[in-house]
Amino acid sequence: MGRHGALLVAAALTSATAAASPLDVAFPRTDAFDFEAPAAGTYALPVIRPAADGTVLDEQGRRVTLHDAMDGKLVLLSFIYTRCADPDGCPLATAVLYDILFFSEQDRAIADNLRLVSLSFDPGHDTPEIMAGFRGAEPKTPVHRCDWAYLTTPSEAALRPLLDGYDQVVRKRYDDAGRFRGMFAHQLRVYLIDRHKRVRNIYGLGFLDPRLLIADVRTLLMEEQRQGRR
Amino acid sequence: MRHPMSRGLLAAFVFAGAVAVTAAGPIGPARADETCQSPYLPKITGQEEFLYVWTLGMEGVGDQSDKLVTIDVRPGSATYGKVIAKVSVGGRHEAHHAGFTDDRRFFWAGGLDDSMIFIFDVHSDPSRPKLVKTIDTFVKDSGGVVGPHTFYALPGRMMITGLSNANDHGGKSALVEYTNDGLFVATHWVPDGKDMRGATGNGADGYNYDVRVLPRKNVMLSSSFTGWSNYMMDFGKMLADEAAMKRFGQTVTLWNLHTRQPRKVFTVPGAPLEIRWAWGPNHNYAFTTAALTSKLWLIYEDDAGQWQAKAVADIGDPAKIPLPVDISISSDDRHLWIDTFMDGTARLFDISDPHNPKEVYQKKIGAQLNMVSQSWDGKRLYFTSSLLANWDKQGNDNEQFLKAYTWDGKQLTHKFTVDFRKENLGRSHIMRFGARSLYSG
Repeated sequence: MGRHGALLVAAALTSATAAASPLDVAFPRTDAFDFEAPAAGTYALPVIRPAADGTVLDEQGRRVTLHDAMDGKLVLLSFIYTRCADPDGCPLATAVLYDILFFSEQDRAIADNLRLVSLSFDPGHDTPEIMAGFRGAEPKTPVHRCDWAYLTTPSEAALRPLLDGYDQVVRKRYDDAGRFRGMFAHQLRVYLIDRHKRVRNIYGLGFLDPRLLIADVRTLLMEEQRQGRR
Repeated sequence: MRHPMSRGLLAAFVFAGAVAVTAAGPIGPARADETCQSPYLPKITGQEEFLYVWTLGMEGVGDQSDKLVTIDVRPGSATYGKVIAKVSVGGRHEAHHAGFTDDRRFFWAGGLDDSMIFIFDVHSDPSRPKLVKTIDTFVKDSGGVVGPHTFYALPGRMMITGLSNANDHGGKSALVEYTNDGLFVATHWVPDGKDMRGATGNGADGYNYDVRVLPRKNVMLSSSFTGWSNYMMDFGKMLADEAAMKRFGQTVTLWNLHTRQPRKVFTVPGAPLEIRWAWGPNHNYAFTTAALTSKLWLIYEDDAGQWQAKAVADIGDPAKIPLPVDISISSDDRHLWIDTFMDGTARLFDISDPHNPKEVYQKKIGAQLNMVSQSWDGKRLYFTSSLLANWDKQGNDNEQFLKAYTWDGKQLTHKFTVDFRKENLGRSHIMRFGARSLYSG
C-alpha cells in the first residue's frame, strides 16, 4: 500500500510535469532496480510464443474466451489466486499492476490501449463473485485509465490448457494427510501480450519494475505506429 | 515501503518447501545451492539429494555415448556415493555444460560439436531424469550459431551462449534465447571489430563463452573462449599451431539485460571463461578467470557508476600455465574456489576484499581437474575431471571421476569417489544438484 501511496503522491505533486517525464517522477530508481530504465522504442521485444486461448469466466460469470477478454488491446496478464499470502507472490504482481493502472491515469495512450488481466488458477475458490470482490474500489469520480479484467475459469479442466499454454507452473500444496491446504506453490509470472495475441515479454521477480513494464508497453505501441496498425 | 530486497529476487519461486528459499532478508548471506546458478531458480538451501553429471561418451568405455549420470548424495542412504541412474542420449556430441529452466523442472544439456540440445525432465522423478525433448535445429534457428554452451535461466526462457559459428567455425558467436519448452526466441551477436552494435570499448572480437546476469543493476556479462576449429582440435596439435593459438577470446562484454544490447567491451586477454556475480545486495561486481594468462579478473562498478575490469590476482604461477577453469563463489562472497586443470588442484581464494584476493588454501584433487560445485552453505564440494574430449590428458593421467569432499573452513576432507572409467560412464563434466523436496510439500 505504501508503494501505491507514494506513487499517488508523486503523481499528484508532479501532475504538471508528468506528461513530459512521467516515469522518472512516478517511479524512481530504487535499490531493487538500481539502474536507469531503458527508453521505450530503443530496443526490440522479440516474439516469445503464441498467447494461448481458452475458456474463462468474467466477473459476471459469463463464459468468454481469454482472447475475447483481451478486448483487442495490449495486455499485461497475471496468473494469481486471491488467497495467496506471500508478499513476494501474487500480491506483488497485483501491486505492480496497480502501479500501471494509476500510471495510466496520466498517460492516455496506455489508458486507451492496454488492458490488465488477473486470471485465477484457483477456480475451486475463486468464483466470479470472489474475483469481482477482489477488484478494488472504483474512484468516486470516474477517471480515464486502462481496463482491468478479473477472470477465473469454470473448472480445473478448463484451467489446465491455459497454464500449459503459458508455461505457468502451479502446484497444489497438501498436508501430511494428503488434504489440499488451500495454498499453491507457483511461479510468479506476468506476461506482456500484443494485439496479435503473442507473448512479447515475461516478467518474474527481479523484472517487475513498473518502469520496465511501461517502457515495454510503449515500445509495442511505437512498433504499431511504425507498422501503421494504429 | 518494504525494503527492496524483501521483494526477494532470490525467492524467484514461491515454494515453501523445506529446501527452497522463500525470501531473502535485506542483509545476511544469500541462499543458493551451487552458487553459480541463476537467481531465478528455486534454491536448495538444505542437503542436496542428487547430483546430475553431464558426461561425455568415451571411446572404449561403456556404450561410448554422452549421458546424464545421477549420483545419490544423501548421507545415510544405502546408495550414497553411487550411480543410481544414467540416461544415454546416443552418440558423442561433445557434452559440456547444462542448466535448469527457471522453474527447475527441466535440465538443458548441450553438445559443443554438433550443437544438439537435450532436455531432461528432472521434476517427475528427481532420482531418475528422463530425456523428453531433443533440439537438433539450434544452428538453423539461431542464424548460424554453433556450440551451445551455457544454459542460463531467465523468466520463462533459457539464455544460451554459443561458442562458434557455422560460417568459419571460428570464435565469433552469439547468445541465443529459447522458451522453456524449446521455441526459438532471438539471437544476440557479440560485438566484434566490424560491428560494435552500439557498445563502447576496444578490442571487441565477437567471441563468447559464459553468461551471468545481475538483474538489480540490469546488466549481463558474457565472456570469451575459442571456436569449434580449436575446441574440437587435438590439444597438442593446437598448442603447436601458431595461428590456432591466436584464435582465443580476449574480451568480456557488458550488456543491458533488459534490452539485450551490448554496452561495453572490456579487454581481458587469455580467454576469460566462467563468470560469477557476487550475491551481496550491495556487491556490484563479478569475477572471471583468464585461462591462458592465469589471472583472476574483477568486473566492477566504480564509485562513479562506471563499469570497469581489472586483473586482481595471479592464479598459481602463470609461467607454468596451470590453466584455471571452473570457479565457484561462496554465498557470503568471502571465498572463491578456482580449479586449475593442469596440476589438478583446487585453490581457495579469500575475496572478502574483491580488489585484493589472496590464495589461502590448495589441495590436489587428481591428475586433471575441471569443474567444481558447492552446496549453498559451502560445506560440501564436488569436483569432476574432463575439460574437452580432445584436450583431456592422455594415458594414466586421463583420470575421469567425480570426487566429493566436505569443507570445514580449514581443509577439504574426501567423502567418496566415483571412477567414471571403471563405472563405464565416460568423461565427467558439469554437475548440478537435485532434490525431491523442490517439487513436493
